[in-house]
This record gives sequence, structure tokens and C-alpha cells, in this order.
Amino acid sequence: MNEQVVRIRAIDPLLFRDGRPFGADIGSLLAQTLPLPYPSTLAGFVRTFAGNRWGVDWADEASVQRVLNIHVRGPLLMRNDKHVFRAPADAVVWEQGEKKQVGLTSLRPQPVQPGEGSNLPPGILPLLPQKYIEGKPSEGYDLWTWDTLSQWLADPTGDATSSPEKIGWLEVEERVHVAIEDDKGTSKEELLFTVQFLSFERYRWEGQAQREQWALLVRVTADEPVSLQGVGLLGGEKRLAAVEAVDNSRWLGCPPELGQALRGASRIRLFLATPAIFSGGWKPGWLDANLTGSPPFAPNLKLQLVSAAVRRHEAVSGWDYREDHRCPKAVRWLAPAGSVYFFQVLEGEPELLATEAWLQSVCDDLQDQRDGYGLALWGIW
Amino acid sequence: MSDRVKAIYLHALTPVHSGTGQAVAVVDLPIAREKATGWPIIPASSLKGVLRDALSNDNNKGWIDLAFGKDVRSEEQGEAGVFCFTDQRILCLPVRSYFGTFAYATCPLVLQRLVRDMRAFGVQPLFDAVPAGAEGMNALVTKGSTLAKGGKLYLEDLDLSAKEDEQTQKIANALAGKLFTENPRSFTERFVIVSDEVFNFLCETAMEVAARIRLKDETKTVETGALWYEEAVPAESLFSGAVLIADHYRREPTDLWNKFQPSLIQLGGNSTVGRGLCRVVIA
Repeated sequence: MNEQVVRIRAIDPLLFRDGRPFGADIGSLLAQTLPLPYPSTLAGFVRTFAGNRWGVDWADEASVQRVLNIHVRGPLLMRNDKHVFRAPADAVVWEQGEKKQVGLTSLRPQPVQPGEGSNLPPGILPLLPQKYIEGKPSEGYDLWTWDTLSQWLADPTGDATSSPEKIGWLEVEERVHVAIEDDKGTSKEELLFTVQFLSFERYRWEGQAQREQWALLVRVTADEPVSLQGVGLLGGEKRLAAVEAVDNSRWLGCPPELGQALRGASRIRLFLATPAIFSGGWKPGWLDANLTGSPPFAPNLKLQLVSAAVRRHEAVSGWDYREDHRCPKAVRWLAPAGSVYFFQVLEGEPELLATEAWLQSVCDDLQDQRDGYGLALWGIW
Repeated sequence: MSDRVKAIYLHALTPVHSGTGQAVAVVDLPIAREKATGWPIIPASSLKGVLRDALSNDNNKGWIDLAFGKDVRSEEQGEAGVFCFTDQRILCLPVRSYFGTFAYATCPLVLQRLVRDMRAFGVQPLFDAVPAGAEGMNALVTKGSTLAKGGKLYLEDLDLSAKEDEQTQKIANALAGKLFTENPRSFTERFVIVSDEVFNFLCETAMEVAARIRLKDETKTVETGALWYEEAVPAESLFSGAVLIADHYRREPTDLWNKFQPSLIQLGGNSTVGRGLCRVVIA
């Protein structure tokens, strides 16, 4: 088994199109980008990159299957070579006072008292903030550093975690395109369109200097050796990205303090580092009707779902380029990255979540697992 | 890898207006700028379209379709080309200089990004190391530079300290060896590395802004409302980028490259008033 951690860096701004129509018709003249690529986009990129270097015949089903067997975990987002993640959905951040002091509190499951009720599915408890929040949650805390998130996951109440740094999404660059009439040298009617790109670098010199370089990290597991070094096409408009093998230690391990906190814990949290596809929609398909079950990679652990903080669903589709398919892929709904699930431990030792199940997929389908969906980080509550 | 990648350098012979359309600002027609830095770029899509047009003739339709893609409106019949272009980023900006007329100014970040990307492409960079020392108001010049006198350098309205530097000389020689083969000294003696902050300031303030008007036919006076300002990257600017042959083209690329020999192209808007003439150097 060949394991390799790979850093993917955009040479130019990249386009990861969402599903909105893009064409020559009024109302569809803007190609919009997603804020981050889906795991399957990166998996497809890595497999195509590897397959081309193997000299794979893309019309041959066996060869295609050989490439599909490459397991790609990720992407994890890197900012200036440090891991950042979607903000956890069980955290509320707000700025207070004139100095905009940052407040942080957690959402935790609360038992329903007699006379109270909710429209949540049976067996699921509502989540309530642990502190009174003055005003509304603040924007701009979309991404958290690993330093803050690791504290958060080891912190049962959320009181001991330092306030997160304000890190917004990658900047979007819009470009207006025209087509030129050959005979007139002027722009063609109806061919003025706009394309959005994600910029993976940000340099500012006014006030406090800012230098940000973003990259995507994936962990590739293949049955045979593969050279992952060079430049490939990533996303729309045939834009280029540099691929570079880095030391496997760059992949994130569970910090010892968190591993210790998980040992013997009775209440654990699952944090989605990448979006997940579950056969049960927002909830994992490995949970039975009583909301109990064992996650993949931890079959000896029996958990009961108590509550969940899941942001609005996202949708993923795409175009199947396989020679025998050549059709749009079915649209599927994702539980977004940053979603948090609260479990009660019924049986087993949760410490193995810090080892065997750490940054492994909690999706139900094997191919979704191989595509990097549903990578899990674990914590306590 | 390197036989599938070529570096592309552009040398602007006239000001280039690679625009973004109209803006509600002092400059009505601004140039395209990179979001990451705010510095001028020529988008890959502009370069690709212009090269396709410049290289097309009656005898090479097959090669054009292969290299640049099939030019049809219907997606079913379309086919992506095998040439993949990067954006052309600013490499050197010509800046008014008190001594030496004008300078070819660049900065550490520009050079670091160039080296980084060329390494990613598997292309041997023209130079390996970017010198330290171009910080704040300190600049690095070549030996015998015409820009500096008594350790002082004046670019636009900026008063900078200049220091001769061996590594800067090597970079200037390497760039001149590719881009100014006939008279390398005309480049090397004007080459300067300023700090990222100063370069950023120059990219904001040292662009060419031209006021344009339209006259009434009968009276030869300015039509009401027909005054506008256009921004352009000045003549003598240098840009750098690359072109890569996509992986799905499995054949030997020599034939593709043999026909890819652009020399002079017109980029951006206002071609009829002389804008955008660029010399192309493929390395």
C-alpha cells in the first residue's frame, strides 16, 4: 500500500462551478464558484493526474476501476502552511462593545422539560447556547485554525477555548469575458459573460501587512506507486494547479491532550472536516431506528445520537466523463463540513477514535469514503 | 515535464489596455488587476484568444483546433484544446526615474512567485535565489546602474536608497539574456528590485492614464459627456507566464511546439489607436 500526502496549490485563481446554469442565455451569464471544492473534485483531479501518468486507457473499464480504487482523503485547507477548518456549527461567535471584543459560546443538547417541545426528529434534543448572547452572531469567523479547533474539541463546555481568529473565505475574483467578431474586430453580441474564480493568494500592504497563501492537502492511498508531482488541470476553464508530495507528517494526527480526553469519555462529538454524504440524509446511515450504531473504522464502539448541529444542506453533482457514461451525475445532498454530532457512548472505548477513526470517513458508501467525503475529527462534550 | 511546458514572456511595445469594462470611479476604463495583489495582469483567456487568432491561417486549421480547441458554439461538437495558458503576471514595470530616464522595477514577491511556479512546472528557473535587502525604502540595483547616483535612486516621487548587488546583477543578466538579446545592457543598467510595498505603490500610481474625448463632426468641439479616462500598463512593461500541454495529449509534443512561434501580437483593447502591441518570447 502506497500512502502519500500531497499539497495542491493553485497556479492561478481557480473555478469550482456550482450547479447554477451558465450559458449564452440572459440570466445565466455568470459562472459562479463554490467557496471550496468538494472532495470528489479533488479525488477526480488526483485520479486523473495519476491515471495519465500510468498511461491509463480511459475507455477501458478495468483501467478506470484501477484508478477509482485510489483512495483520496481530503481536501484539508492550509493557510500559510497551517491547517484551517470550517468553523464548528456548535460554536457561536459574536463581537461585543465598541472594541468588538470577541465572545464565544457553545451550543449543547438540553433536555426538554415537561410542557416544552420541538419539531426535531424523535430522540433528538434541541441545542441551546450556554451563554446569553448580546446581539447576533458575527460574520467573518468562517474558518478556524487547528489550534483553536483542537482546543474546542477537547473542551466539553466551550468555556476554556480561546476566541477564534477572524478568518474569512478565500477571495473571489470576477472576470468579464468577451468574444470578438472576426470580421469587425468588435465584441460579439450576446457573448459578454462573467466568470468567478477563487483566489488562493492574498497580499495586502496597507496598514498591517497581510500575506496569505492557501493550499489544499490530500492523503492518497494506492495499491501501486504513483508519482504525484507536477502541474495538472483543476476545476473549470482549464486552470492549472501545482501538485507536490510533502512529508506524511503534514497530515494531521490527533493531539495527545485530545486523545487523553477521549479515553473513557461517555459523551463524544463528531466534527465533519469535509462534507459528508449519508444514506440517512443529514444523519449517518449506520445509525438504526433508535439512533444507535457503530461508525466505520470503529466497529467495537456503540454510539447513540443525542443531537446534531448541521448547517443547511449543500448539493453536489457533476459530469461523468467515463466513456460508457458521459452523463450528468445525480444530485446528492451533503451534510456540510463543520457539522457537529453529539453522541452518548453505549459500549466500547472511544480512545480508538483518536487513532483508527481519526480523519477517516464516516460515510456509508465505500466509494464516498474513497472520494474523501465525511472525514471525521472527534471531541468530547 | 519540461518538454510539455514553455515559459512565455511578453514585452509591451506600446501601452496595453487589458480592461475589465467600465467602472464607476475616477478612471472610467481600468485595467485588469490580479485580486491577490492588485497588480496588473493579462488574463490567460485574453492571451489564448489573441494567439489563436494570430497563429491561424488557411493551412493550419487542424493544428489550431488541436492546440486551442474547436471553435464551435455547440458544446456537443466542441473539443477542448491541449494548450493550457496561465495568466500573464507583471514581471517588470517601467517607472519614471530621475536618473537613467526610466527603470525596469520589480520586487521580491514577483521574483519569488516566478521561481516557485517555474519549479512547479519542472522548468529550470532563470535564476535560483531572490536577494534579500529590497525592503522598505531600500532598493537593489546592478553594478554600474544608470538609475542610482551617490547611493540614491528616485522613482516617480519616491526617494530610495540604492545598493549594488551581485545577485540582482545575475537576475538582470538572466532576464536580459531571454528578453533583450540584441542589447542586454539597455535592460540590465535599468533593472531595479524595490520592496513589495514600493512596487505595490508603483502599480497603483505609475500606470498610464489617458484622457480621451470625442469631437462633434460639425463644430470640432468636444461632445457633451464625451470625456473619459482610460488606464493602460505602460510601454516597456514585462509580463511572464507559461503554457502547458494537457496530460490527455499523449503524443510527442515537438510537432505542436514547432508551429507555436508567435512573435508580435496585439493584446487588449484600443488596437486602432496603437494599444497593446507586444513582443512574445517563448523560452
